[in-house]
This record gives sequence, C-alpha cells and structure tokens, in this order.
Amino acid sequence: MVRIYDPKEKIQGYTIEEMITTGNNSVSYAARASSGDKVFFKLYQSPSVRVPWYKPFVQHQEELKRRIESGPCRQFCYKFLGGFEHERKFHQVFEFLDKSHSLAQIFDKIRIRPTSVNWEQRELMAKVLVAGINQIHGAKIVHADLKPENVMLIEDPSIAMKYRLKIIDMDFSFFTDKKAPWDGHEGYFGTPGYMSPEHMTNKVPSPASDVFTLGMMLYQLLAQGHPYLYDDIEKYLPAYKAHAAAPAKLLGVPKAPAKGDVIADILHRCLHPDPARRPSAVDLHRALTGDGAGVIDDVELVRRREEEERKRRAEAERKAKEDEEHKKKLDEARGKEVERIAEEIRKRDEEERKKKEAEMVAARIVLASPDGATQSVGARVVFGRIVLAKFGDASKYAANEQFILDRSGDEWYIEACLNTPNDTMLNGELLTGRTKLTLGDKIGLGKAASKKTVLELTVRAE
Amino acid sequence: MATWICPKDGIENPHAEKRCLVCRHPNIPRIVVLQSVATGKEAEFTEPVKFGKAVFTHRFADPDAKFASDLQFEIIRDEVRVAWIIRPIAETVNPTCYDGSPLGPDGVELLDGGIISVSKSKMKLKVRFKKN
Repeated sequence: MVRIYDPKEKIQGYTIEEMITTGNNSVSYAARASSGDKVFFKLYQSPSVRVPWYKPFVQHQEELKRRIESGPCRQFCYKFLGGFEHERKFHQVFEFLDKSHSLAQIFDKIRIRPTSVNWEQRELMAKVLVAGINQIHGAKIVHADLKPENVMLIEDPSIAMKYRLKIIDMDFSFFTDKKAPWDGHEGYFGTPGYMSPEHMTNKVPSPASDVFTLGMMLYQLLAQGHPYLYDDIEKYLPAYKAHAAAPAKLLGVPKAPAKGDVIADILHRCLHPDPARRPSAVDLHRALTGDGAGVIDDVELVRRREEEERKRRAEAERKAKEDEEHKKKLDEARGKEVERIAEEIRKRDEEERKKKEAEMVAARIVLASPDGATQSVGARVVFGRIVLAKFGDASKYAANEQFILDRSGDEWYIEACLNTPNDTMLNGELLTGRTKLTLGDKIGLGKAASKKTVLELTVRAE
Repeated sequence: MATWICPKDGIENPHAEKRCLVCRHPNIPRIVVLQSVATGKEAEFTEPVKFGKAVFTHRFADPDAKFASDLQFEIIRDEVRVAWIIRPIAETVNPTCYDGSPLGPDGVELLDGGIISVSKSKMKLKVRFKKN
C-alpha cells in the first residue's frame, strides 16, 4: 500500500504542504523545512528497504550529491539537500525550483505561439543544456533519463534567456566508472520517445546515449521538432536503427561564429544508431558556440571509440547467439506440451468468463474490502467519501461523488464521476466511460499515471 | 573566487574569463566613465565615440582642451578582443597617449584606472567602468 502524506504532516522536521506528483518509484511533495525554506520532498516506494540494493542505492545518492556539488555540474543541476530513512522508506529532499517550467511546458508554449520564446533564447537554452550535460559527463555521470520534463527553466527576467536552466531527476543517474546499484536487479529507467537505441535494447546507457536524447531535444528546440514522432512504441527502434531522422532544419540563424550547416549536421549525427559515431557533448557545445568546426578532428579518438564499439558489439552478438541457442533448445523441449497447456488455459478462461457473466444476473452485488467490510448494492448508487467511509481512512481520497454503480437489465455498470481529485481505477487501469462490471473486478482510487491504487474493493455476488 | 554572471544565460564565470564559458558572450563593461583629472567632471559612454576639442571643452570643461585636435581619438567596444579599445585618429597635432605612452595605430585596451592624455601630460582623463 502506498503511504501518502497529508498536508501539515511532519516528517523528520519537514512539514508537508501538498502532493506534486506520483512517479513509478516515488511520491513527491512540496514541503517546508524547519528553516522555513520550501523544499522538494521525495518519498521512495522503490527501492524498498528489503531489496539487496537498498543500502548501495543510499550510498549512491551520497556519491551523486558529492560529484555534482564538488564540481562545475552544480550550476546546472538541482541541489540535493539530504536523505534519510523514515518508517522503513528512503526519503530525499531537493531544492524547490519556484517559478519554474519544464522544457516540455516551454515546447507546448512554443507550439501554441512560436514567437513566445525567441531564437536567441532557444540558442541560449541549447548551449546551457549541452554545457550542463557536458559537465555531468565530466563528473563521470550518465543522466540516463533525459527528457524535456527533466529540464527545468526558472523564470529570471534579468537575463536575456529569461530563464535559468536546471537539470533534474538524477536519482537514478549512474556512474561511468561504477556499476549502478540496481544493475542486475532492475532495468535502467527511461522514457519512450527519449530513449537511445542501446537503452531500448536493454544495454547499459552511456554518455553517448545521453547525446542521442540531447539530439532529439535539440531538434525540438532549434529545428523542425521531434525527429521521431511516433504514436506506436514499436516504431522507434527500427527508425533509430535506420537513422531515419530527416536532417535538421534550423529555425533561425545561429549567433556567429557558430554556423547553421555545422549545427544541422552535428544534430543529425547525435541520432546516429552507432554510439561511437555520435559526437560528444563537448563537440556539440563547440558547434553551438562556434568554438572549432563542430567536427571531431581527433582521428585517434574516433579510432579508439570505434574499436571499443566493435568489441562491445562482438561481445553482445556472442551473448545474443548463446541466448538464442538456449531459447531454441528450451522451445524444442517444451514443444507440443506448451501448446496443449495453452489450449487448456484458453478453454478454462472462456468457461470462467461465461460463468461470471451468468452470475452477473444477480439482483444485488456487494463491494468488499480486503479487511472484510462490505456494502450491498441493489439499485443505482453514487459512491463518494461518505458512503465509502465504512471501508476505512482511505475513503478521504474520494470526492463527494467519485463513481456510480448502476444496473441495466441483468447487468451492472460502473461510471466515474467528473472532476474528482483522484481517479477511479478498475482492475488497476483508469476507468473511462460506462463500463460493464464482472464479478471479481476490483474498484479503487488512485492516479492513472502511476497505476497506484488505494481503497481496493472487490465486486462480489450477494 | 571573484566571478561574474553572464547577462545572457545567468551562468557564473571566473573573473579571469573574458567570455562566458557556456554561451561565449563577451564580458565587456557596459559603460565607460571618463573623468577629467583637472576638473573632476565626468561623462558616461555606452557606444563608440570620437573625442576632440569640442567634447573636451563642453563635457569636461578642461582648459587643456586647446591642445587637442578637432578629432583626437575614439573609443570602441571590440567584441573580438573582448574589451573597450582606444584608437588614435590620424594627423592630430599632438599625439594621444595612454598611461604615458603614445598609442599605436591598433590602439590599446582600456583598463580600470588607466589615464588617457593628449601628449604625455595634457587633458588627462581617468578611465572607470560601470556594469549598469
């Protein structure tokens, strides 16, 4: 069960003000430190104290903080203010970026009104973003989850850029000179549409992977938009591998001595499927500022990178071949037995479905919580905080009118009410529209984005 | 460590860096203030200016203005050299000097506290910079 803090709740000297987001691994709040400063307060659901990589993860956070704050990175990253364990959960506190907008919000703003962010501002944002990633790589850190949502722009009318840029969400960044604590336990987090080819194929991301993502973001900031805009996640990898992105067409003339054709060329090379053929963040920064031609002129560096990449590919191919042979043997051994079992399962599922549908002809149904509380329903009922109160404290997350159960003929339906602060979930998914209920369905409250649910009620026949 | 904040991108740079390490914006003071050593009168400049007898008389009320030609020298904001530069104007009666030395044709970089003069000792102007 997700532990959710209430406003005004005090945790280790921090007073919770409001929930900001629920992510895959954490719930984030705005909170107030005892000094009165506003902070970004993060409660981690993962790693839990029970997993073997919990302690290494906590140490990893300390080292991240040290690497960022002891070097030039600190100008480009948000501040880690500290971490602690409370009620067997890891918590971390960061600088709160007031009056800030994510780069994703800036892109939305540009889409609606292209002149809202002028070319000089865009060029400056690109230079600062690339310089920041360059410094992160210099500290031997791979960000590994770059995306416009993780680049924050804080309003500052005193400078030409009008915003100060900070790179955030680095708690699952890792080091190039050490294995990540979760390596071998968990995958490397990433966001579809902003992952590199190596990230998508379950390889360990590298600084070159960050450059790939940077390339995509710079296409949006300086050129015609996202170079790989697909609605289907399956389409990304083949397009990446084919280097199918169109050449960048800049939307303005770069400030001299930078040259438009050099920048357009290097942006396209950021998206090269072969990491060794991508420029480094240093090369990219040089091209954007016009310091040097923006091309890698160090032949030895190219040769070394290609050699490393050749070795890495040979090793990956050998491992893939081994896996393939192993899988083939297993498949043969399973053979027809697998098909027979699958057919049995299909038949059984079909019978169960028919049986459940038949049972729904019941005149009344019951909602039951895991601790045994029940609510019988025989006619249309609007469920809200008051009706749900009998199922415990979690009912406080319900709106006055959260969802409706309604009977039509022999069938029962559920419908979510509009404008509720928390979503109504059905079997862990967001409930949309009027949906037919089946016995055994689970109704809950939660957030669709995180798929986390509280107050889980099971539909039963009376 | 002394630093300066880039007015373009807000990045803090070491004082010794003439250009922003991130956007390469040149760190040139926005305003040059010249003050007559003789009269104490001063004037601020943000754009390239050509100086001569008339300016010295009206802006600085310096009696040494009579030693200057109609156009004596110019100051310009040089983004390549990342500095304010003083350059002589050709065919003046008396040479323009900076810190006591006559200027060459390419001029020299102005520095805080430097002294511009007509010949070595006439019409002395002290240089000061202002950021805003």
